[in-house]
Amino acid sequence: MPLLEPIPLTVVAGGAELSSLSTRLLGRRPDLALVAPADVPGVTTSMLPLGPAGRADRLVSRLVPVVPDVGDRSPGCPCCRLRLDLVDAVAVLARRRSRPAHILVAVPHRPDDLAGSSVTTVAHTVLSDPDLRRWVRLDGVLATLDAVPAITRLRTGSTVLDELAVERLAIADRVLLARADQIDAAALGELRLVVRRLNRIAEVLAPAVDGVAVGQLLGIDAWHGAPTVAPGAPVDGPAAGARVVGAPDVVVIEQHGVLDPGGVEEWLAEVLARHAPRLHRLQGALAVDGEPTRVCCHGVGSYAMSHPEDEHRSGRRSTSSLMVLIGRDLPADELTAGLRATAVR
Amino acid sequence: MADHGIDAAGADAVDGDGARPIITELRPGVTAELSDAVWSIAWSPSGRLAALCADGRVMVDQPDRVTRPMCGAPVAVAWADDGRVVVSDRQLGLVMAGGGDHRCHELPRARHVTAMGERVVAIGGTSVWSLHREVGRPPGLEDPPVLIDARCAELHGLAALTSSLVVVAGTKGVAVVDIALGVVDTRVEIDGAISVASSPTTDVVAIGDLGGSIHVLKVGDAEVGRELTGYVDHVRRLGWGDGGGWLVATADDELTCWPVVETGWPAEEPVCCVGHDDPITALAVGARHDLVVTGDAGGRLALWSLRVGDVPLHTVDLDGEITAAGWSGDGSRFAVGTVTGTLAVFDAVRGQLA
Repeated sequence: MPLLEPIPLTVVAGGAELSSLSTRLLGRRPDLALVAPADVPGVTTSMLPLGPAGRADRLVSRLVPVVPDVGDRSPGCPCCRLRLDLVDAVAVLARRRSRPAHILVAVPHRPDDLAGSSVTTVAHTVLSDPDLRRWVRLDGVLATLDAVPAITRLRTGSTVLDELAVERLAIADRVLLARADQIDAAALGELRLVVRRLNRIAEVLAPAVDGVAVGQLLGIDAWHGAPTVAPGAPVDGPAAGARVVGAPDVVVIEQHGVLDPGGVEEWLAEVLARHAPRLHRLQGALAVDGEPTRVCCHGVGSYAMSHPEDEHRSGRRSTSSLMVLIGRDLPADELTAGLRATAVR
Repeated sequence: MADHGIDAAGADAVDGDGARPIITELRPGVTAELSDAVWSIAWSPSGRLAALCADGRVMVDQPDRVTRPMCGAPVAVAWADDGRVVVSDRQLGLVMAGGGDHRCHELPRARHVTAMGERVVAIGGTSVWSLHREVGRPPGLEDPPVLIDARCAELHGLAALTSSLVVVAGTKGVAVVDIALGVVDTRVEIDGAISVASSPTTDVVAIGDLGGSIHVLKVGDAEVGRELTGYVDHVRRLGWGDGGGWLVATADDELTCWPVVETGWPAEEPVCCVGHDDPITALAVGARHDLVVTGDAGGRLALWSLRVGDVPLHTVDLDGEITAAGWSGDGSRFAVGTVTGTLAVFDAVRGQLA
């Protein structure tokens, strides 16, 4: 009996605008289901059953309420934390005769519950839990940022982003600048630079929520295949002094020529052993000697996995390698030298 | 649908010619197509069967005896007594049904529920819930349930120790709870405890954690114990088989069994049983005999004898991921359920050799 196809899962993280985004996506796609804390405003009032009308025996509730339950795989190690409530919630949706086509997991911004609001922990759970790996695949991480207060804080020299906001923006595949139509073009440009300094993989979308097509957010398969890397923001210039808490380093390593497979494996193991607690995300496509196509890898915290690039729709033969690491206190020069040292001479 | 009836085909059943089979046989009984995935199976002491579907319906005894949906987020079913079932539900709490009793008891984030003698015990959130049933007393006049905060964070595992003691496993530890007195007797800090099983004959419990370890502890003396390591993944399924003679666990596609040696502790080296190609998703350990049932994500059901070792006695391929399994109290039958809603009951006819 073939295993069931994993359901694509999208993590949606943000502040007050999170509920309107979730509600909008659910309204556009009747085959979506939402896993969210029960007290996220707005999402509980618009729930309709999933499935064909009149088939009461096949209806699946579209909302699975959760209370964050954070467990440690290794005591005290933040990179090994798991959101156990998500395993239960996804089981409710995936272990059914009739399953949703796509699952959203809402992660509200709650500074009083750092562990339960961590997007990194959610992504790590989805990627590494053995049951979740079978039931779902991570399609993407959407992060919202309310442009209006953000630009006010930027202009007044206040802290623009706290630790949770930085984390969700650093790991995201799509950053939605909510209410971007209410700030001027220069301010929007500055906010884009703030985001770009945290994350060079994400696409920054503005105006967000109302103006973005569902196809830009769902079915993007962003945790599979090679990363697309945007140019880095200038170190100086507008918004360079923006105050953010726990700003990550974005390390982009490019290398031409094939790499030694054993060397790459050792390098990756070393990266995880030394930097996992501070690593928000890694993603790359490596041209490894002896492999017919590049080897793509992705991970969060202490977990990383790989697959051949030809599994991906845009997979192609290439002898160039690209690796992106996003995390705090990453030694860029050392990491770059380490990967380059694996080149086959 | 094939209906062979659920009757008392006991453990000592023999072949038609009167001879006991050489190897334990697996004989199909009832099969039924239920309305949704089967998430939990429970047998009453007298051999009545209840199967909980994902849509909140419960099949009782026969495929044509199915309740209306009772709840929206069901987790587990148990027999409160021989005429009532109790369903745990993440949103509603505990729903009692049958024998003229239809009540809902509040228990936030209810998870496992089980019957222990004259008590029904459940876990939900951080709490242990207990209801004492008095024989002959009308259900509505029972004493109110007892709620005890185990203080181990969110609870994931529940096992009975005695008629009044349970052990619970939570995200931040393990606790022995005296449900008669309504107090936590002992607490041990174990990070990420997600499963627990108690030996039926000794005061030893096994706790599975998120890190891939099994902690074996002596009740009342948490300093005495040992840790079985080596699993890559979490240990979600645990049990003690053959009267406490074996500790059994699954991770990924492997069933691992430790014989209990003279010291009373599991041996250092386990027996690794390989018979599944896909991750094991259900485990039912016969408490009174050496038979173990496993089911996997590909729909394969395997019957093992702990005495035979590393290959299954029988395998059967069903139509989807096996989501639940349970032995009858007398160990003569077991039922399995699948994600597609198939419920299958089998008689396990003990052989002379296995």
